[in-house]
Amino acid sequence: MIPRRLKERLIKSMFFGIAAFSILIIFFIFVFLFYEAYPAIREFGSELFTSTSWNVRREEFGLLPAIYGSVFVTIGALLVSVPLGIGAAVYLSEIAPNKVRMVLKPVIELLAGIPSIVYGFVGAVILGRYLSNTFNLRGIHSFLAAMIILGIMALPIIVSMADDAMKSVPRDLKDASLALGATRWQTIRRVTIPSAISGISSGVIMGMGRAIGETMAVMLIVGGVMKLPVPFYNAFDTGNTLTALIAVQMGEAHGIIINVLFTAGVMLFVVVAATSIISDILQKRTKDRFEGKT
Amino acid sequence: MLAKIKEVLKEDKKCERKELPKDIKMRVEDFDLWYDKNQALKSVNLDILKNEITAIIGPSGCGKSTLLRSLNRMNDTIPSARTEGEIWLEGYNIYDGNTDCVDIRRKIGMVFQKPNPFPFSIENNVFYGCEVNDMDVDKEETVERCLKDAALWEEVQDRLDENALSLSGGQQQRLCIARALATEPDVLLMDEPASALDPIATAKIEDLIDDLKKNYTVVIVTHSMQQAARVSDYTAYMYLGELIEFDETEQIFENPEKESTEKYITGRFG
Ligand SMILES: Nc1ncnc2c1ncn2[C@@H]1O[C@H](COP(=O)(O)OP(=O)(O)OP(=O)(O)O)[C@@H](O)[C@H]1O
Ligand SMILES: [Mg+2]
Repeated sequence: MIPRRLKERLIKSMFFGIAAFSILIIFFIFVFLFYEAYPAIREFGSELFTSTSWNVRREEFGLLPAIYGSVFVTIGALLVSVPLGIGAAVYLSEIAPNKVRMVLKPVIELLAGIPSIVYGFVGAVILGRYLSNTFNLRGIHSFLAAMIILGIMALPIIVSMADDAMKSVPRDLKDASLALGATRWQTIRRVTIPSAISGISSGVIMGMGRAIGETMAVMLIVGGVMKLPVPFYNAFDTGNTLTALIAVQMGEAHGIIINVLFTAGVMLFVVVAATSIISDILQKRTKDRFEGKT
Repeated sequence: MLAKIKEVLKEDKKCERKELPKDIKMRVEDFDLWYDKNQALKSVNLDILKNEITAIIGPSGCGKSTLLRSLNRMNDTIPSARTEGEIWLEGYNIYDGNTDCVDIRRKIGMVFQKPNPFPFSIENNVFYGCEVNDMDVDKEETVERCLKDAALWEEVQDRLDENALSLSGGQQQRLCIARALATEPDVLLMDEPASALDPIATAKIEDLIDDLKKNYTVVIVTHSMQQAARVSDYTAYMYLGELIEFDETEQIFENPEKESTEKYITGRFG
């Protein structure tokens, strides 16, 4: 029989070990990525990030179109998924009768379980074709189709997290608002949403992470051409993203191009890490506000 | 034709009316309430007198909060709740189909058992009711007046922009009272407003309730016999969803008519 004190300490150090181990893994991934990316950065310098010309045979590796494409597609996806997602979450948590909620919530969460290749296929064949016919585009590929599909893919996480956040706002607060003569809508807008803003914003950031990191679907829809859209805000044009670039090129890559692709990987890693840090800061800020430290 | 339709609509919009005696602010008449199949209020009849403090006492689960929440239709937020009977506010039946709950709740303020300030600044908490009701009043003035009425002004006047959650429990409860006063209600409902507070904060709130009497009609639910005896003018004793006895507080505490009431207030209950 182990003494209780010792047991507590063993359990504590075990959990510390697990936490330390996962941090270590992340650290090693970063070191490895950077190690593999370094030769390309040494060889091409800042041109890697500022040049728009990509030609493997001539060893021109300008990543800018893919960087821009990733940003562009993510912004577009958020424009689709944030209003829809928060709207759906408000409906689910505050308005829908229990029966409707019990059907809708699992359905929305099911959207997250659909393999991304299916989204890609639907996006390219159905949505892409539809957009192409409607707007007279040259092919079925476009940023717009990618934005819409990515927006839908980011929906479940946003809806689910925003719904949880709003559901967890104490009944007391909603009652207080109603008892002061506020309507249901005023209560949602002025009390429920502001009180749940930390959960909602971390949902949005998670959705953003999903949009940035999504590969398969984007690869099939966005076109895979290494060029900037013309003009730069033209969502009907085609282009590429960092993820799609890596996925397409990695198979037959050899030599320095592997290092270039790793550079793209480093960028994705840094951006995703940054979103999660921003989400943390946001959460902490609202938490401080709740605890009255402003 | 159109005129006729308009007339019909107008007719419909009219609330059920009847004259109540002058000194009666609210009248509960044959009021029943069910949560699903469980009847929580059984044919309750009760008059709430103007500018007096009415206490509702009774053992846990007897329906005190349910009755209180019925008075400003807060039970509408509970899907399983169903009511029968009428509650009159001055001349109007607030359970008439045409009554606007939002309007009712502005006239009948409520303070909850647990302090529940919004996670906003102190002044925005107080002003919230005025804001959602589009009341044309001066913010600074309203905030100051209500905080003074709630005996909180001295403690918070230099930190009105601080988050309300940084206040102590007793201060939060007084803030909730100030918040309820801001919409200038006629009636103030309080559900065990001092149950989470220490004796000093409780005493402050009791003093405050006594002051409020001048301008408001107050209904208070309490578990403390002493509190009911100290602050109220009238006392209603409830048991298992029924209103057993209602009279002047002195009468109830010194010479109750029913045996059940006597048992309860002397602590020989059960
Ligand atoms: N939201 C609800 N749904 C279903 N039943 C409820 C609900 N609220 C209260 N009840 C039931 O109604 C009855 C009266 O409850 P109520 O809260 O009015 O009692 P109370 O007198 O305020 O008790 P306490 O002194 O403990 O606060 C209880 O039997 C309770 O279980
Ligand atoms: Mg109660």
